Amino acid sequence: MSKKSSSVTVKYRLILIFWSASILLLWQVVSMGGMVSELLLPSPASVLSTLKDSFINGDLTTQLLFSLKVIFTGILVSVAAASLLVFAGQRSLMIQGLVQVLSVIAHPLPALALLPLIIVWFGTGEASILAIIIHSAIWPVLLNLKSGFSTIPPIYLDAAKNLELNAFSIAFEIQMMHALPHLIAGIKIAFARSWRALIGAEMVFGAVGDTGGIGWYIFKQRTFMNTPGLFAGILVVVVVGILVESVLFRLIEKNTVEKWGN
Amino acid sequence: MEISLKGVTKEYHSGGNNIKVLDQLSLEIKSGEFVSIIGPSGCGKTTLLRHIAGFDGGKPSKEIFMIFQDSNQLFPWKTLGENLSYAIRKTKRSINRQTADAKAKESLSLVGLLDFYDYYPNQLSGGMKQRGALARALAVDCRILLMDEPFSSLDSDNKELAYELLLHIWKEKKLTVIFVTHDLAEASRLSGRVLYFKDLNGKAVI
Repeated sequence: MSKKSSSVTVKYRLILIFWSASILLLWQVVSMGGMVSELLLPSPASVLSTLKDSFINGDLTTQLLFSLKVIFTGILVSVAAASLLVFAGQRSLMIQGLVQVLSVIAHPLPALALLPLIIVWFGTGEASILAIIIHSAIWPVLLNLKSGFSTIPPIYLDAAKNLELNAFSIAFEIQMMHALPHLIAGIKIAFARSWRALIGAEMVFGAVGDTGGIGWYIFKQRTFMNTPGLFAGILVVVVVGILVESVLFRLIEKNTVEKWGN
Repeated sequence: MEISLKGVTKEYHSGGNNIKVLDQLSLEIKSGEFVSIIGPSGCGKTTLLRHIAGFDGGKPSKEIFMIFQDSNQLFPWKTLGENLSYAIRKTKRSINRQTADAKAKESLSLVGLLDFYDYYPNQLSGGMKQRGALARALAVDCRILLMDEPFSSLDSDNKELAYELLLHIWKEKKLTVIFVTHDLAEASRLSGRVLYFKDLNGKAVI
């Protein structure tokens, strides 16, 4: 990175910190000034204290872990299924056609639109939440993977043939590795879509499993008119989103595609 | 390992026309021979090499290994050493990882790249990548090297180093080499027998 672009990055980071701190400060001032009722806008301090209490004495840790477990399972299943579908589509024109028709129909369909149907079909258990996540995740992963597989430079395929690789190895050891940047981009979209759908579904389904997930936590706070709790839940949703996007995916990209010069 | 082609014809369909790239082409190359084939760009030299390698519907194998003109032929997601070790493990199923790694190091030292074992291809120069590709071919014990203008992007100093290295390896490993180029000086510098593509193509079967 050049000196100039590095100083621009530092400057931009400072701007981001400035705006984050300003929003927090404005929130604190408005809530302290008594202009808005504490029931509608609790102070950041009271939200933090509720958050701490929910993590230590309440079920928030279990609920958060439940949501994360379901979302990561759903994404993992989606990646595996999408990979097999893309591979099968390469081998058979019939399967390729089927995948095309299914993705054209299902990709633009929001998961929440399917919620009532999923409740009718599968009830309101963990399997239904998983079905919603898989629906949200599989199509963006599939479309990105398909594009990654098809854009591989022919020279890698020739080199693979020279190494006597079979079709399975070519797909999963060569095309899949070349498609990794596409796959990561697909999983990012999949996570964003699934995270929204998951929170929504958990609010509708109630306490799935022992304690329910983070969506149920937020919904419960509204039932008891616990506004600091509502804010605490929303804060957790935001922080998890940021951590996954900016830390987890960033780390994966740094250790793979960036290292390889993509 | 020798090469014997008789009356090979290859046609492509483009814009409603049939283009005959290889027309009754015949070629005999003895085992251990270093032959250069010379011809202008686009005359069909690469098509010929791809046919010999089996890329056009034949059965490619590690015995006949191609070094492409494009230096980006190593897998970019593997380090240089991993590229070679992977190639060895894929072509010799019974070999274990340690032995493959050791063989990869041996091949890299032959081309003077041992110090770059842990480098990713994007960290290497064009010439080093081509030497890496050559090391991969040696690592899998190929018998015939098909070289498609592999040094065309190198400067003259690096070209000379690459020539010396290639000739040294050819003699030591007793390989059969077909070197395709459009540069007559390069062809004469490298091989005892220089063939003109136009003399091979469009001829009746011998």
